[in-house]
Amino acid sequence: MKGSAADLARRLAQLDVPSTAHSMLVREANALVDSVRSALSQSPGGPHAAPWLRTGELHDSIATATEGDTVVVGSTSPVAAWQENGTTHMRPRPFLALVARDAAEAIADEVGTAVAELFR
Amino acid sequence: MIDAYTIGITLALDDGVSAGVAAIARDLAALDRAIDAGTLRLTKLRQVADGAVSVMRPPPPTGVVRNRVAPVSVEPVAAAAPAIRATSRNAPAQPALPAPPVAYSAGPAAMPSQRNPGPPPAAPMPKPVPPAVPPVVVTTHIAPPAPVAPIVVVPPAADAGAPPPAVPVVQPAVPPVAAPSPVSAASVAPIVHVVQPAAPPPAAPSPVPTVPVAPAHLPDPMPRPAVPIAPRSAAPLEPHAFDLSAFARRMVPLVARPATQPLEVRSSSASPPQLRLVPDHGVPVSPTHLPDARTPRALPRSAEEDSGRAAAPRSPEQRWLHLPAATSAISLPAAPSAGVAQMSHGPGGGDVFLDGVHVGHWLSRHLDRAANRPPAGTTGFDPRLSPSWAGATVSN
Repeated sequence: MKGSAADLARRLAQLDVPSTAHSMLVREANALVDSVRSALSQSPGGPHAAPWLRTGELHDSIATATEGDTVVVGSTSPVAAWQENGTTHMRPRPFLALVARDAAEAIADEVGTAVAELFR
Repeated sequence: MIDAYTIGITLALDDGVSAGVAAIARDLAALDRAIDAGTLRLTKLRQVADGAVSVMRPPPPTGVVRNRVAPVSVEPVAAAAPAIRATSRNAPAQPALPAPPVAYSAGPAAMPSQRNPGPPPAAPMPKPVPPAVPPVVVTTHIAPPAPVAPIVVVPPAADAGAPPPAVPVVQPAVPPVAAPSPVSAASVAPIVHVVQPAAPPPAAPSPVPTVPVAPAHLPDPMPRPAVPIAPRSAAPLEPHAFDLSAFARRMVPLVARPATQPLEVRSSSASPPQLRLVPDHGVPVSPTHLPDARTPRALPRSAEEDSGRAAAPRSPEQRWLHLPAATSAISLPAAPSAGVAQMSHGPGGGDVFLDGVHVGHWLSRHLDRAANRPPAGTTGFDPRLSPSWAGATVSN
């Protein structure tokens, strides 16, 4: 019992949960970026729910930024906000929120699984 | 950098796992320290217990004889050693056994098998002793399995007329049952004790059949005379209706007996009939002739009936045949010559009996008279009709 408790305490102290979770979060953010860019790859023509891929500016502006335990997946292009939220002359064509909503559960699952793997 | 984004999705990590793991690690460390402390205390306790057990632990049971006293060596019978003293501390007492024609004396320590290289051992090896048995000390292999008094074996070659030299007797640790006097081999003989159960002495036939004295639950304030009483039937009482007349008829022969003491039977309506035995001479009265206390009693009668019956002259037997059912005191005279004159009525000896039936009757009559009185001219409730209670103002 004594050895078991001491060994378990030592192993728990050696676990690096924050770095593991952060790395997994960054990885999932990059996967989300890929998903967003994939949604912005529709060529012009026909009905569309997402913006068309014309010049590729919006497609290339999708990036991630990390600050502590927070990772932001966004775009620096001013067109991105217009397309996402719409204007008085244009209906909204969200390309970021819908993808993030669909991928949110998978991201949380992946991060949790990675942390749980530390205790095995 | 994040502010540069015009639009974006924020993925925030709420890490509660790291804090939980740290808390668990601290708890485990505390548990480890507690285990260390407990183990240390347990070790100390075990050391103390080991010390105590080692003090209380008897020597290990051995199938081999342990020598604690002087070693024993074998010498020939014709040797100059005049006597042998074989002592046993643990063997139970038993009749002395005939000693073999060999003499032993103290010598170097040796195991029983090593001590007798030539002749085989005359006595079987002692059996393993249970651990609870006190330490075993056997000095010779001929030690009997049961403890005996110190035995001095005299060799046959020794002069029977000359007394053996005085050898200090080693007292066994366990007090022997028999007298610890030395026994010589010449006088040692198998003794068989035939223990027979001690037969009780034959009871002397009693010339007069006696009956045990009064039951223990009955008061017996006076000394009991040694007067034999004829045995009476001890049949158990059966619940039956109390027939006072039959009871009185059964009591008549008792009146005619000269040695019968007064029997006072009292009963009250407030409780089941109570039988009170008042012996004069201490002679117990068999309760088999008395009515069962559980039997229902007759209804109480009014005082007028009692007084009218009491006023009528009757013969002594008629008095017994027509005893009042309630508030009766029956006294049996000691001798027929005394007759009914010795009958005592009412409580005696300072006893105060308050008959609830009489009180109730008195109260009813009082209320009856008060209710039948003509009105005094006033209207309303007459306080005299209400029964009084303790402490109430009585106004007539």
